[in-house]
Amino acid sequence: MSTRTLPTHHDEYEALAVAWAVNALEPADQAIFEAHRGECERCARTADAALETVAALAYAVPDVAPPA
Amino acid sequence: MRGVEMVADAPRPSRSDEDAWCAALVERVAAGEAQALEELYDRYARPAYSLALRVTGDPTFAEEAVQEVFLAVWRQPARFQAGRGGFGTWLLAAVHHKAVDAVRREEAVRRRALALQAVQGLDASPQAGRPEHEVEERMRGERVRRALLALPESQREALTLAYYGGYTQREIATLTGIPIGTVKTRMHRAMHNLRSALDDLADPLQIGSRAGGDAADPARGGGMDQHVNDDGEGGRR
Repeated sequence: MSTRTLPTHHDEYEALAVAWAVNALEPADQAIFEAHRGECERCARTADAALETVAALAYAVPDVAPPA
Repeated sequence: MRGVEMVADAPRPSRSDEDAWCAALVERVAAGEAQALEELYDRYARPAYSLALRVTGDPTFAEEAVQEVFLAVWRQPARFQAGRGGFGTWLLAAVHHKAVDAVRREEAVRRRALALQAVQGLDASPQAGRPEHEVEERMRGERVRRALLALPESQREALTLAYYGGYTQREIATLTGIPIGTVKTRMHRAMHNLRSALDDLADPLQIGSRAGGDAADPARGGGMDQHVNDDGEGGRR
């Protein structure tokens, strides 16, 4: 994996939560955040809130019917 | 503005009728009822495909992403029954993940252009004869586009390159020549501002709305981990 050090400040996890929700983390950061969110209710909620916002973005794209 | 910290106490929308409708269908899928899966497909295949097509730029990849996720609903419906988040939120997150995986495998040069186009040139096509939920989705989409366009351009770029382009923050930094710390900050602010804007535009469709008061929800245990990790096909990259 990685030798990356863990975040030392909770705000760093909060920032990771946002990037996590849009699949924009590097693998090492992703693993770090996912481990953290399993243990931290606050970050789990932050991540869920970000996911809800991100789901709205899905509706902003041009509407195309799937192949039948 | 309310600062950039991201809603640690974020209240969720109360479970909508649609969430309840979906939950009932997922129950039936869990009981082995194929018709229920078809109803979910009829409802969500179109927005799911539209998203996957935007991210991948490729109809084949897009269709595969959608099919894989609906297959997962069929095979492991329990993963979709957790109490947090609506089915639609979960489904679109899973489709997004599949689409991003596909595009990262492809390493397509067109990703950037596609991402930057994502909120431009979107026409309002006729709504007559469309199912009501599709009309609602079009209105929903219009609100989200307005909220996106209201973001400062630097924030919009960071968010759209990530979400529609499938780039990691590090890739965005390389691509744009902006320090990664700045990319992170912009993305964080973009998300915060977008949420605020969507709240301001909130209506009965409750996209990103604040229901208020929902501070502690015991149902929010650990369910969303299912969201993309345990599909056995390698994690996010």
